[in-house]
Amino acid sequence: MPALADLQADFRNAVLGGDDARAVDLIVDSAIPAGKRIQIHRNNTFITLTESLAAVYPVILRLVGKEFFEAVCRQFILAHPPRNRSLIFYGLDMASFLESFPPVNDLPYLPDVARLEWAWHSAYHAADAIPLAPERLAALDPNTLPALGLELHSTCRFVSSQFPIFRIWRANQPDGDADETINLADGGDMLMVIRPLFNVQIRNLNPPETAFLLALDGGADLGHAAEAALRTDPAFNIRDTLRDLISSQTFAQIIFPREDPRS
Amino acid sequence: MKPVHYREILETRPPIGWFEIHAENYMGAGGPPLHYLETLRLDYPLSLHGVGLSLGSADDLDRRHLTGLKELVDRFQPGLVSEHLSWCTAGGVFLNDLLPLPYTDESLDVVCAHITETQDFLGRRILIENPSAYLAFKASSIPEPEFLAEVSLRTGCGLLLDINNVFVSAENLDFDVDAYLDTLLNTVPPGAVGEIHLAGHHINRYGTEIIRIDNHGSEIREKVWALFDSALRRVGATPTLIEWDTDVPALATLIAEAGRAENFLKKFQGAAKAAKKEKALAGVG
Repeated sequence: MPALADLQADFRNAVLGGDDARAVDLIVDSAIPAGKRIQIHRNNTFITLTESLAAVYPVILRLVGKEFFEAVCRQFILAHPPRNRSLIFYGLDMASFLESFPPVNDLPYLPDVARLEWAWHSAYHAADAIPLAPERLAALDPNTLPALGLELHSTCRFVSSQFPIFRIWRANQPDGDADETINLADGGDMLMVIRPLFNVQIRNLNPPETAFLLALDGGADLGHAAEAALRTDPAFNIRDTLRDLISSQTFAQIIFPREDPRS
Repeated sequence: MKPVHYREILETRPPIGWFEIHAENYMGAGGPPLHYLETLRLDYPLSLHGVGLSLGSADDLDRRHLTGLKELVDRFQPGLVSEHLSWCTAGGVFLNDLLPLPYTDESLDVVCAHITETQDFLGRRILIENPSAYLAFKASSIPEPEFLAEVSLRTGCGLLLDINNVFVSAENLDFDVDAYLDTLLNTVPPGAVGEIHLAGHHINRYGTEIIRIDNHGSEIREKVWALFDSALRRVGATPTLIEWDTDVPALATLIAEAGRAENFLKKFQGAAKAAKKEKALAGVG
């Protein structure tokens, strides 16, 4: 009689590896062959995991079609079977998987679209935070602002691509125009994905905004973040940009500079 | 409770006794699902049904998963917490399926140790659900109802009696449903059955043979309603859940199924309880 661990390893290998021989030997013979019975469980695993991936990657599904998507998922599941029992966390590796998956080499934008969809999904399930209210900053002495930092909202993610992935994403939403012609040479996107309260938003960032937000995200204070933005665009208007970013609920907290205990 | 029904439930507050959720779908750090659940919990009793603990795995329990489950239990204070007599992970890989166990002395020790660990960690009793089976292992030496009863006796856990699973397994593995219920319910202490599940199943054909698939994707079959009636005769009115997980229908269809279950349950509520106008016992998953 096999030990439980061995039986379960054999069964797992039959479900994922497709080699039934050892598992078939474990199962009571009957009119319906053991292989057919194992196939029911294999279907359960692959169908439900594919459904879970389809819910996270609806744009990828639409771009490649159902049949191809299922074939991609089959290979993905074999290469990256889930390890967390909550499928909320399943599918993180899809973008890198697509990058090294030869059958989609002729769709070079696909991995970045997958990154955008994962960012959307992870922002949806990320820890909640109350966005920083405009009054909080308005109440401070303007002279102190350059030394302050701003913590980005906990749901904020950045996705950049050399392809117009935001237009691709929008055209492939349920209410999007799937027949829209998108020229891949039209230029890339720098996107912020964020869920301040209930709804996930995708925002296009221009180069100075990008430099400003990435500097803040890296721990720079407002003064240094503004300098980084001005280097990309001397006409950068920090006052308007900051006001717009705060009113669109981009931040969670003011980070005050550490006091020097000697002063 | 399914995400497609969140808004309708919150807007119409249907007369459903309670809701059941899969714990794993609410293990994110935040976001709308937890918000909806919190709002719903204010008005309805809740049952947490786990599908990922893998109580039957030879592997150790995943403490991270158990911690996630405890956080949900502590936050939402569900009336019932349940898991399955099955396994779903091996070597750290999660197969997202409720896989059958060989019913052996070793399995019994493993399952009981894991249930005890879970109950100690959560600080409460859990219910264990009988599985739907498509195959039997040669190694099995203990009939399922005896195995399940022994698990309950050793660990003090309650039972979640899935009527559809009993029916599906009995048809697939050719055993008698009445003998199954007799063995199980005559062995466990009164009150051990804390919840009942009802669901639809699919019929697959292999040549002249058929095999029933527990897909929770259709209305409950008449023979399953009859078995429900027979089970209630033995255990009395018990909180009963309608499960419908694939091809999820309109909320009204689920409410109608819950209403039908409620009519069965009323027959078995004591006269005193009926006079007190107890809350509905039928819920929706």
